[in-house]
Amino acid sequence: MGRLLQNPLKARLIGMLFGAIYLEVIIPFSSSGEFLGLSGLAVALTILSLLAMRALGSKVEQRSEAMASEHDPSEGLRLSIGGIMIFTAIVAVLCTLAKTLQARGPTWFLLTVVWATCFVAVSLMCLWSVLGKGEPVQRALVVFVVSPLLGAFFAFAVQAHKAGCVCLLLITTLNPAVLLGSLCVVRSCGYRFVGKAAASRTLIATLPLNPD
Amino acid sequence: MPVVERIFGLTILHLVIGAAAAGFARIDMGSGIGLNLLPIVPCFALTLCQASLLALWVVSSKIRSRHG
Repeated sequence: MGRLLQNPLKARLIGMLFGAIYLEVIIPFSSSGEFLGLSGLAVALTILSLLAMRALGSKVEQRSEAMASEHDPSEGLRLSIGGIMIFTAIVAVLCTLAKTLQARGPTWFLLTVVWATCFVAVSLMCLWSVLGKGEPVQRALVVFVVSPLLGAFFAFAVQAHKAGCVCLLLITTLNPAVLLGSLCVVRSCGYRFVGKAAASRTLIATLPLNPD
Repeated sequence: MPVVERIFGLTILHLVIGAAAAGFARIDMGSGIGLNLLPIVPCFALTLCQASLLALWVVSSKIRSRHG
């Protein structure tokens, strides 16, 4: 076991396995077991999304306090035409998906996939909000608006009853609140999202200046 | 507070609150005023939050081996 933990990749895989099992056990323990696989799927989808972002050049890495603040210019929330078009496209896709779910009759697997995807989207928004460049407060407000909207979408798609709707809205409000709070602790440790350009700038800045 | 202690504290806090939320979710509130689903709210919110933090740790953490 000690040898296994010396290998970073294996240690991470073991940690992920134990964590995913713990999360899978917690939800059926608290409910009737109809959401089996939800947290495991959420972990898997988030890992895949973060790995895809890493492949594209963006990653979360720890920096010293001075370096983190140097790369943190105060940047307001900007709305662009492209951003609005992407947002409209996402809303259209979600509406179509909701109609399809309603028409076909929701199955357990489909519901789990759609709900896990909603949570992964909120998680990524939280990461962008807290660990991204600039002030996180404005972005956090956006997350607090989008997350309950996704909950409302899901409630509409599955035609949830009144108590179910309230429950979904509360979950989708509380989840980003806890995640944003936890990520603030991570941010205070110096972790930030680093894009491709910023990473190369850091590499150049840390190159030795000695001509030899 | 050092970075490692902060992250360790956050982990312990999540484990404790997660276990408490799972226990709270077992409480039967009755269906009289439509609150029967309320106890599962903290458990679901915390579990999915922990799923995201676990994924972030898996992808981003640096584990130092004994040989550096």
